Order: sequence, then C-alpha cells, then structure tokens
Amino acid sequence: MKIKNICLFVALSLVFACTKKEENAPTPNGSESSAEQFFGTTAPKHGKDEIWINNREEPQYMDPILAAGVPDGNLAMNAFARLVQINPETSQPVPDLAERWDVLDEGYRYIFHLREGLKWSDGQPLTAHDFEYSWKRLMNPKTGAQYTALGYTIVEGGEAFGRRAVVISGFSKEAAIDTVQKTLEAKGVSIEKIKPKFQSTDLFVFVNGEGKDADDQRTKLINAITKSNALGQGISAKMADESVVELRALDDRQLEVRLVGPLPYFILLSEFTCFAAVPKHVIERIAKENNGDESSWVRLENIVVSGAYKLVKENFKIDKVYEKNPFYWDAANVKTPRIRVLMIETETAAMNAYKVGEIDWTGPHEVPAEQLNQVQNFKDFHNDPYLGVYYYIINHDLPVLNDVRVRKALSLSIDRETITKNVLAGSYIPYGGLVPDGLAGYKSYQQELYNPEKAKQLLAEAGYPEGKGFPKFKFKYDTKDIHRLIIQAVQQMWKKNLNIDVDMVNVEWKVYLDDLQKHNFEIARQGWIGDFLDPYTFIELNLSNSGNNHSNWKNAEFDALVEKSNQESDLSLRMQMLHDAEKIAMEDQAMIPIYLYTKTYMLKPFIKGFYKDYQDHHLWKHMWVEEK
Amino acid sequence: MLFFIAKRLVGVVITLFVIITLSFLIIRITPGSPFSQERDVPVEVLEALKAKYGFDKPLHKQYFQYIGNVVKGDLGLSIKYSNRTVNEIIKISLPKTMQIGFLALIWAILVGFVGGAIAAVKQNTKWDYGLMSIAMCGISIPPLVSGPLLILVFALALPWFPTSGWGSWKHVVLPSISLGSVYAAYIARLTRGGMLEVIRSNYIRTARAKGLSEKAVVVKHALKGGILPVVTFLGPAVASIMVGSVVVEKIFNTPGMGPYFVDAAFNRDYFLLMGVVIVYAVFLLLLNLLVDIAYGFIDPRIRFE
Repeated sequence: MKIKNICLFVALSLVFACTKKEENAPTPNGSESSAEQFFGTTAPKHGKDEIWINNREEPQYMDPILAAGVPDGNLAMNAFARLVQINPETSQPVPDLAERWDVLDEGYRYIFHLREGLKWSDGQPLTAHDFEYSWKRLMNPKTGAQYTALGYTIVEGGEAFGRRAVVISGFSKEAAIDTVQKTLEAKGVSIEKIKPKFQSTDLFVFVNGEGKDADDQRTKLINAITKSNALGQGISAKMADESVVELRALDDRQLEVRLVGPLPYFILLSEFTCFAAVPKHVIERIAKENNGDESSWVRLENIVVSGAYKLVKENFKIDKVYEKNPFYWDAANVKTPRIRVLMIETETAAMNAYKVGEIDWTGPHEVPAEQLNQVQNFKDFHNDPYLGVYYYIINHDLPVLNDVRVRKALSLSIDRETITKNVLAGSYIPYGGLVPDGLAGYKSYQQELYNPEKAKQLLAEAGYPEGKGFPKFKFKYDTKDIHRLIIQAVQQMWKKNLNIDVDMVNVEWKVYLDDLQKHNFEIARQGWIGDFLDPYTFIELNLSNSGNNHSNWKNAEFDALVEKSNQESDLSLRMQMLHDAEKIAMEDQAMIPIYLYTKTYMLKPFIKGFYKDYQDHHLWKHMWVEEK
Repeated sequence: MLFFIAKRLVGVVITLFVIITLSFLIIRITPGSPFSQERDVPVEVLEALKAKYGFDKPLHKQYFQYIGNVVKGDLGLSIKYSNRTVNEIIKISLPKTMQIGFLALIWAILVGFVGGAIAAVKQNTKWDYGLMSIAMCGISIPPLVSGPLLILVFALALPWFPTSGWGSWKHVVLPSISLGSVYAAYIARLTRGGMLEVIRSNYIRTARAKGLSEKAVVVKHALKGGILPVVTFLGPAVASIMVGSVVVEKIFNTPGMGPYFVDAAFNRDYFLLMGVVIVYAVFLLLLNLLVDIAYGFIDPRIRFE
C-alpha cells in the first residue's frame, strides 16, 4: 500500500511540475499577456543590500594581469580599477583612476593625470608608480601573462623587454643596421630582426629560436660583442631590462607612456583588465615571504584592490563575497554594498538556480539551446549583441583550398540563415564579414551570404564541375555538440549544393588548440571574441605575422593597409583603411564567416543599473536592487 | 593475521607505485599542453610557465622529483587554479564528496539490506516481485536521469531543497539519494541472491530443526551468510562512492572531488589529475584489503593463511 502511495506521490509531483510550467509558458507570439510573465521568481531572496550573480566557474586567475578567461575577467574588472572606464550608456571611454589624459606628439605620447588622494583598499596611497610597476609586470614574460603581447606590442621598447632582446650600446652615431646584422651573423648568431632604440643610438637585437636555443644565441651574441669586440672597442651588449620600456611615472600622479605609433585604440585598450594597477607593496612582500613566489597575493588573506569591490569571503568553487571598497575614489556612487558571486558550472544548473531565485543573473552562461524556445518570450530573457564572430578557417597551404574560387564556392553554398534559425534556435545572426559592425563607427564589409548557383559555377570554373574530382577533405572541430550540429548542417549543404564530401574529425579541446597552432587541419571552426571596442581586435587575426593567424592566409596589401592605419590619427581615414583591408580579406575569402554571436541570459526584473554591453562586461558598481 | 595484513600492505605500496608511474606516463604522452590557449601566447611566456612547474626539465627528472614529492606528501601545484596546491584542493573537496558518499552509502545499505532480506524471506510473493522491480528500476535509472528528475520534483516543483551548490544539510540530500539509488538496488539484489542461497543450506535447516525462531534464523544465520557477496561488492563500491561521482557532482554543482577526474584531464592539469588518481587508488586498495579482512570474520571457511 505504501509503495502505491509513494508512486502516486511521485507521479502527482511530476504532473504538478509539468502543469505549472504549462501555466507559466507564454503564448508563442509573445502577446500582451505573455509579456507580463517571467521565467523565474520576481522577488529577491535577499535584502536590498546585496545581489547574487553567477560567475560560471572558479576563476583560474584572480590577478588582473594574468586574468584570461571570462570568469577571471568578470571578477578582476570589478575589483581592480584601470585609468579609464567605459561609460555603460555611451560605450565611450571616460576617466576612472585617471582624472584626465593628454595626447602629445601627434598621438605617440600620452600623459595620464591620476586623481588626487587615490588609495588601495588597505589605505596605502595608490600612485603612478604603481601603474608603471603593473604595466611593466604585464610586459615581463616571467609574470606568465597570456596578454603580455597586448602590452609590449604597443609601448615603445616593450617588445625588446618582453621578448628578451639584447641591447647593443656605445655607438657614437646612428649605426648601420645592415652592417651590424651581417657582422653578427658572420659570428654565427641567428638574428630575427634589429630595431633602433627610441631617440638613442642603441640597437635592440632579436634572435631566432626558442628556449635554450634562443638563450644560446643571446649568449653567443653578447660574447661576440663584449669578448671578441666584433663591433669594435667601446661597444657593449646586455639583456634588455625594464628600463628600456618608454613608460615612467613622472611623479606620484603623472604616468607617461610612449607608443610605437599613434594607435587610436590605445585609450580603449587601456580599459582592458590587464592594464589595471596591482599593489606593488603587497606583491613584493608576498614574493619575499615565499621565496620569490608571488602567486598567493590574491588569496583572501592578502588581496588588496583598487576597484569598487573587495573580496571579503571565499569558498573554493562555491562562492565569493565582495563588499564595497570604501577607499575606491567613487565609493559614494557604488550602489550595492555586497555582491555574492556563485560558481555554477553548468548552464542547466544556472537556469534552475535562476528560476527559484538562488541567483539574480545567469552571468557568463548562455541560455541552453534546448531551452531557448521555452524561455525566449519571457520578460526576463535577454538576447544582446555580443562582440564576437563564429567562422571557419581554411588552411591556405593546401593546393586545392588555395584557389579563391573554391573558397568562395564553399562560402556561398552555406545557408547561414538555416543554421542560425534551425540549428541555433534563432539566437545568433548570419554574418558575412570579419569585423562585427558598430565598433567606433566602423561599417563592416559584407560579402554575399548565400548563392548556391554562383557557388556551383565557381567550383566548375576551378575545375570541379558538379564536384567531380574534388578531393574529400577533413573538417576538424573540438568536442562540443553545437559545433558538431552546425558542421553536420554545413556538410549536407556542401553535398547538396556542390556535390562534395567532407569528413568530420572531432578532437578534444587541448589537442584542437595544438592542431590550430601547428596548422594541422584542412578546414576548422573558430570563434573570436574582441578584446576591446575597435575593429583592430578582429582585423589583426589575418595579419601575416599574427600568432593568431592559423589559416596562413597572407596578403602584403592587407598587411600594408593595416600597418598604415595604425599610423593614421584621422579617425575616419583610419576606419576607411580598415574597411578596405577587411574587403581585401573577404574578397579573397581569407576565412568563411558564419554568424555573429549574441549573448543570451536571464536577469531578474528587480536588478537595475544593468546595461547592455557589446563585450558582456557588467560592472557591479552600477547595479542595484529595486524594491517594490 | 598481522602477517597477512603486513604482506598485503606491501602489495598495496607496490601497486600504488605502479599506478603512479603508469598514470604519470600516460598523462604526459597525451597530446595537448596545459598551456595551450586560443590566443597566441609568446614563446617567452610559455617558457616562464613551463619553468614555474618544472616542465622545462627532462621527463625522467620530473618523474623522480614528483615521486620524491609524493613520498613527502606534496602533490604539487594545480595549473588550472593557479594559486592553490593539489593538497589544498583535495583537502577542500574530498570531505564534501565523502559527506555525500557516506550518506548515499548509509541509505543504500539500509534500503538495500532490508529490501533484499524481505524479498528473500518472502520469495515469490508480491513483496518479492515489487521490491525487485523497484531494484531493477534503481539499477536501470542512472544518476544522469535520477538527478535532474529529483531536481525537477524536489527543488523546482516543490521547493524543499536547493537546486545545486553547497552550504547546508539540504544541499546533501538530493545528490546522496541520486548517487545511492543505484547502489541500493545492487545491494538489494545481491542480498536477496545471497540469502536465498543460504536459506536452502543445511545449517539453516539445522537451526530451524533446533527450534530457533524464524527471526533468529534470518537475522543471526541467513543474513550473515547472505551478505558475503554484498561485502565483495562494497569494497570497490565504497571506494568509488567516496571519491565522488562526476555525473552527480556536475548535475548538483557540488564542489567535490568527482569532477576533477574529467576536468583535470581536459585541462591537462597534470598534478591535480595525478592527485585525484592517487587518492582514488589509495581508497580502492585499502578498502579491498578491508574487505578481505572482513571476509575472514564473516565467513568461518576463510582463513587468513
């Protein structure tokens, strides 16, 4: 009898659960009555003085300079302030720790003026010296920051320090680089390049090789100059140290930086998390106490911050609690005293937690594709533009795929509309460009999206009428259902429209990354999320010398245009140059764009001060809980 | 018996050494590096990272250094969680996993034993069929299904328990039920099978002939003999239940040790993966030893020699 009762209870509960969902479900067309409905609870489970958000996972790095993934960045950007912040309403850079900045020497030199009386969360003064230390720490390869090149490629002298060049000094006048290179190569040194030091007769020498090989080259070079006097008496050589970087604190409140060009995106870039200040006094103390290991400076017991929120409690992989930092310069305008950040790892668990009010915002998680149809008409569902492109890369070293007609045929035979609508439940936007639109007034170049007839014709012109004789190639992707589903759709489209066959090769993520780096693929999928609000963050992917150019597409005209745009201080001229560069890349089908990302998430209606953001950056300091 | 235990302990140490060596080699020859990233990372930075974790040294040197550290109880640094040691991560996560595992085990044993015993005593009745049908369902419904179902009913429809996470006793209940149900079902079937075999044996008939009550026969004699197969099953079961279930802990977002078996492998977090493998191996080897010792006490036919 009891068993019967239990079965009855479970069955009734299930029916109840399903019925309840039915009642809540809005009408398919999102009519007036459905607009009043919400997927989750609508009253906070906590007081007005806190917000509960999801961070997806325990961060890998809490140090803003090392922060790489989204979960790292979200915590770091709220705890560590930069010189500049983005106004959430206008998306324009506005002062944060700097109260203003001067642009000098036609955009080559900047002086940031820090606010008066800035303090770290331990009450210690925060000065321009902290910024000098932090930015040089970013460029120092020993720090191990993934974004190190973002720093050293823009600051004059940064590359020499970051890539461990050798500095040759003692020339009485400007040295002939060719002669120096030939002389050193005659001594057996393998040289990558030689660059003159800014406003100096010194030279930076970059050697070829990696690891021990490169170190041997450097030693050989230094010995050739100092011991064998290869370049004559009085010429000395040593490893470049941080003093070669053209970045210095002029006093406690002024930071001067000289750039390698009048890079118009520099201010936007300086808002990026890795350009935050870190507390030199804390890091150096921790390193001293731990035999040089500074990594524990971000632990709860040690961490000192400059931003709006300070970490006050942490439970590994469960949650972290942040409280308003009273020493933050704008603390008076920080609206919510406490933020509880949960580490809910799966999308489904985040949706469940959101539904019952255990979190107010699903955070970096997307709404699972299988739930999109169910929730997309609720008022607390959001789908915002997101600064990212999903595309396919082609290995241009392969003879068949090196024919632009073949690449164009492959692109024109993909029905992107069907993919976004049917495979991705309508959450993304079909796209035919390299750069997302709307970046600092940039207008992207759009190629034709779908034209199977033209695709057939192009393939025939390339020598494969009706796909005859076209070799079967391999499409490599990383293990994730969504990639598999899209590629299956593309595989069918290519079969139907071009009569060509493709094998799908699935490899695990870390192996996939290695294969991309080694160009070990024929066609592969890739997604790119912009680091800052400028087209350059996408254009850079196709530069011949970019480490992120996995397809090996190289075009001298494209490179020259991009290089020229970095020297151009007129914004509209620069945008035109970048547009022209994008056109070159797209007309040559450097890659096959598929869709633009958007960001789906759930947000409680009582959370205010939450702005749509192209980069999905949401500063907690703007948010608050509105009580009914 | 002491000699038996000492002999087995030596075996445990040797097995453990082999497991560590093989795991170390397998992990290291797997393609992909812990530092592979989507974004190009400069060579100089990769070199600095490799040097930090000692990967710049030859593999055999790394191996001997690692073995030396393990002997000292130092399992190394996590690569994924950059400012934490593997010892610390295991220290934080293992107790949570064990709490869930312990509760799952208790309920699995209680329900399994009682259900199995009732089914055996009332063989071929509606009790037997009913209980064994439930047990069959328990075996057939993995936590991958029972977990979300429990959340749907007891966290979303009836908000009695939290949907996921950790913090109070309520967070332990649903994962334990989900994890324990499969084991409960196995134990019930094994207990029933074991008892049925024993109930028909001569010594039970003798016990009945001596005029012992049915209750005494079942509890004192039949159950003791009947649990032998369960004890064999429990050794490895306890080991795997105590180091956590990847599925259950992922579904309930439990910050336990289970998910590291998969995540650390995907992330190529070499030392963390080695750490959880070692913990699991130690559990498994010691519990198997315990099972062998327990056998000696339960079954008089088995001698330690």
